[in-house]
Amino acid sequence: MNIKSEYYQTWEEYKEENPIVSDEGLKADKIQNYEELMYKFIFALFL
Amino acid sequence: MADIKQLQKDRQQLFTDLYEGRIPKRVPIMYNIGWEAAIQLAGHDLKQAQWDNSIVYDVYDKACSRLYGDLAPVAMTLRNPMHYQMLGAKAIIMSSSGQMQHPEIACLEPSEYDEFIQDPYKMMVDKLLPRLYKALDVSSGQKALTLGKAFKAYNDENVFYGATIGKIVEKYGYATIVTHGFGEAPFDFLADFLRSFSGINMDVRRMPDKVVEACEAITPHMIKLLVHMNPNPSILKKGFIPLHMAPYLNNKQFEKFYWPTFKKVVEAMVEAGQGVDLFVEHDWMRFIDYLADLPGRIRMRFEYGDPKIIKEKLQGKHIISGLYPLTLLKTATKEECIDKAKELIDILAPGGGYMFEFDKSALSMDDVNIDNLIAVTEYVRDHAIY
Repeated sequence: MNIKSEYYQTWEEYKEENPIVSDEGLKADKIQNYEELMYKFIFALFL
Repeated sequence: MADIKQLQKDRQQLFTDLYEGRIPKRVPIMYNIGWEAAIQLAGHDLKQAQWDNSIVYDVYDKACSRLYGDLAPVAMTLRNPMHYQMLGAKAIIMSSSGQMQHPEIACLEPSEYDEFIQDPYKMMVDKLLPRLYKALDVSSGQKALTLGKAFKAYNDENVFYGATIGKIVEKYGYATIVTHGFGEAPFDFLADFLRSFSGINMDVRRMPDKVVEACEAITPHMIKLLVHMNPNPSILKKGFIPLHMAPYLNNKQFEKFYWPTFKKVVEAMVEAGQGVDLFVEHDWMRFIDYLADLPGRIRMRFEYGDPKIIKEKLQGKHIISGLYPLTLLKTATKEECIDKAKELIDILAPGGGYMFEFDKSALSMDDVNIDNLIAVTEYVRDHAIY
């Protein structure tokens, strides 16, 4: 059960918009981690 | 140092045995006093100390040198005032004495359910945050800057507190059960900050279908917070869910609004191999069969209820904790406090699946007689041996 939101971007969606990045050069887990941290922070403000 | 390492290993084994369904050498002791109570115990001024992370180690050290626990007996603050202040929080505010409090507040209007259901995260960012945090109710540029600062402060403080706790764990040889996510039952999430206690109680009568849809829309987000964001899940890492609203619902409302989506969240956690840690707030005796039916081996900290019935219904499947009334530490004699511990151990410890814990954490040193707390926990340590 994955979330869908206009404001949440998956790594695949990010790569489509930014074709210069690659899984090798910019680690998915590094960039995606910032998306996750902000998501977690926003929810923490409602918990 | 070798003794401390061995102590830590022994303590860790108590919890490993407990969580993996074996009878440990003795009943593990897991409780903590709240951050504010620990500040008071260490002799600091509460209001000043809330802002001052230079005292964090001292607060932990002073509390841990006096209190026995198999895990660190002090809770990390859940409500660091730094980012709440920067954001102009209305939902979490500091009282005149320095306690962080959550007043009744709502940010979602009944007429806005459809928009929320469509994309909860987007609506939270666009509309709901500025209603809860007045420093975000500004231009988009100012909002971005304020949110950026608060995000940095939140993460910096968390890293600092985490590192300090790590030092304390090593100094005292505590076991650790890593927190692996914090979330809520979808109905509780809707009630807490979005619609409020009074608002949700009107909604379940006036717009029940919207409440059900909203809970369903929240569910994947809770699963993300408690499952998908936690790599390398383990039953020894806990995804924590405090349960709030069920005791205030009648049985039909519980079955319609609360249980289906909460159960989905727990099932997803268990299926992923994630530990589940429930704080079963207030009295859930009407719903004990539902809890017993949950999959996995879940730690359930009960606030109130009949320990004999809870033990009988859970049948060793889940881990029971709580039920020891914290208020007794304030009002009873040392002997009466120890007798209560004996009573609970006699009922709950046989066959394993029990860890000692109070029914709630002390939020202030005014809540407890510290000598009674020490006497009870040391009694359990020395006598609750299998």
